[in-house]
Amino acid sequence: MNRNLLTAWIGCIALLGAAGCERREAPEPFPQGAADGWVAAYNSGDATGLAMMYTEDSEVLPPDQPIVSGHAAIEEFWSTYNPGQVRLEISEVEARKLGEYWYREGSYTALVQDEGLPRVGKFIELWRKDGSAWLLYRHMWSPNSPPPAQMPDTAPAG
Amino acid sequence: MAVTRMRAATILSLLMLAVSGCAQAPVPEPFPQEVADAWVERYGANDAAGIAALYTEDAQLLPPDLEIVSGRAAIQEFFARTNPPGSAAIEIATVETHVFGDYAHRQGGFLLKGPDGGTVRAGKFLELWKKADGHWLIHRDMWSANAPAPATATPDEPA
Repeated sequence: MNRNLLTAWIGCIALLGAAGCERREAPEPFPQGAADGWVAAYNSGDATGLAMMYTEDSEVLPPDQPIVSGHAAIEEFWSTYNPGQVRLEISEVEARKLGEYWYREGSYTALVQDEGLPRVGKFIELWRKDGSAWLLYRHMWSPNSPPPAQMPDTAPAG
Repeated sequence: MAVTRMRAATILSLLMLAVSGCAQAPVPEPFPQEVADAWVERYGANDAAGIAALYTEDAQLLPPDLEIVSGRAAIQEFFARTNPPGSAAIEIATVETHVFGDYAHRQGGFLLKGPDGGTVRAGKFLELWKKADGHWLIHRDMWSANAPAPATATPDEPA
């Protein structure tokens, strides 16, 4: 009887331990809803909405421009970066959870109004959870070919 | 009595084992700065093969205005073409690093120097590092300039 009790105790402890470990290692999916929200906001030219999708200490690293830091500057950046005139699509995406961050890379295709051929490029993002929301912490992209002469800068990824 | 104490000790030991097994959050290693320093030295020495050896086999460069460059051989060719003997040196300033187990992230800025030592271009970069076979190597390397290229500069100077 005592031996049975001891066995039961050991079993319970092992189960508890295993359950605790499993919970710790449970994979968390990439916040696709937030990423889709970014593309929707970009395609509708919503600079204010875009800015809210970045952390307060976020940095945007655009091609051929200095780093843009913080909500206010990021909103100003997107409001002048041709939002609303570009139809953006994301593809070939790969995401990896790194500590409390999500790292994501992929390709973008940007259809610019009055341009025949789409602009294609690649991007890297770091996402961080602030409160209950996943937000962009770092955001970098570049086109795969030089932008057409005398056209506004190429479109970003998201 | 002794048997009861032994059982209690066994249960306590198992409990501690279970807890310690779960609590083994990996202690982050320091960022492999010596590898980053080797990159700068080799870039300054125009050593394309040496630079390529600091990337994983399946690494990717994500250069501005160019397609992604995939794999160590293509990376060596890229640096041989864009950083030939006698060309620019580079200064790197690390802004931020995070190490996550076998991966690390680094952000920084670069100053590309001309043969006379003057700054030709300034820019920023993001890197993803990966520990492969015990060695920290660059796995993804993306950079861009802080201003459009002057008419005389090539568009794909690396960071």
